Amino acid sequence: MRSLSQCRDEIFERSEKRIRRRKRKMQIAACTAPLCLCVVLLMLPGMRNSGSVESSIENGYADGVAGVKPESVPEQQAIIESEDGIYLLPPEEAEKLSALLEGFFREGSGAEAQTPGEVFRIELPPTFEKGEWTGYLLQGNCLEQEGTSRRILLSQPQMEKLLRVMDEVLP
Amino acid sequence: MDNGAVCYRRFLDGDDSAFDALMKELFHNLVFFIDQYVHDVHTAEDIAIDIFSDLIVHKHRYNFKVTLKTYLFMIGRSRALDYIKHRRILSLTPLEEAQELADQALLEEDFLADEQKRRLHRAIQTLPQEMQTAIYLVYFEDMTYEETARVMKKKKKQVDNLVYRAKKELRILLGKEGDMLL
Repeated sequence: MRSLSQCRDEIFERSEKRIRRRKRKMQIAACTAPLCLCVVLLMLPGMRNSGSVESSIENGYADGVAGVKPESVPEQQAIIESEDGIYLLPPEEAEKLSALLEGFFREGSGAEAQTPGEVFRIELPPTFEKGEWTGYLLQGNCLEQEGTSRRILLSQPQMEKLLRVMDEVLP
Repeated sequence: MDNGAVCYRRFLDGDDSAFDALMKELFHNLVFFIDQYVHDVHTAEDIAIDIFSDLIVHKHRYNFKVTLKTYLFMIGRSRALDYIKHRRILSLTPLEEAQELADQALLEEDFLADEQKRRLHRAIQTLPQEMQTAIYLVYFEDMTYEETARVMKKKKKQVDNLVYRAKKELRILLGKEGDMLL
């Protein structure tokens, strides 16, 4: 058994050690807390962006469902805007639609203009040949490629073909 | 304010010698009390050193609302119980065991100078743990029932019952001598 003075020395020695350890812990916390805060602040904008895409898709802007146009659209998906709303098409449907529309311009047509009905705006994703988004405007039977002067009046069979494809892809 | 608390206040105000007085007043009592739980003088001493070092490290933890003795004994009890819960079973060598017994006797002799008190203490050790603690705090540490209840985390009435039952048992164990001692 130790004497009282030995115990007293031991008490002060332990206390000093514990106080030193506590100070060190506080210093570490003081250094790491602002660092963590900085990391969180840097990550926050990225997290917010990814969250907005996810939430817009969750809110009904998923494939074939009407909703609000998102700020960013997942790659290879076509967008169709109509009076009913905005639709996203999966890549395979977008490809089908792109081939059909390009085909119309290649074929050409001698049809006459019809009274404008519902207006559709179609945006197709970039393809291997075309490195950028292509926009089309369909007004009645008039199909216009945005940004270029290409315009075509679709014949009755062409209109039926296009509407059939759009019926397939739109809900 | 009790004597211990006065010493501690003086120590907090910068008087280092007050800590010596505090130790003289309470350290061995605390070791003796903890030893009743852990049954190992060295461990009891170690726990008591830790508790006293708490007084230096966490200077504002004790709020002076209870006596310092009660406060230290409360921590002592909880640390001792914690130690019992987590201790590893160590096999002592006969030499260590002999040393341990010698230290135990030394502590007893040091603390219980009176032979009658020593006999009473030995009789108390045959009682269940809770009775031992209650009677020890009331008769050896001169604590009130309220203070004992605070240390043991019990109600005053429960302490009253424990002391009553302990006294009854001790009277049987000690016979006529018990009547004189209690």
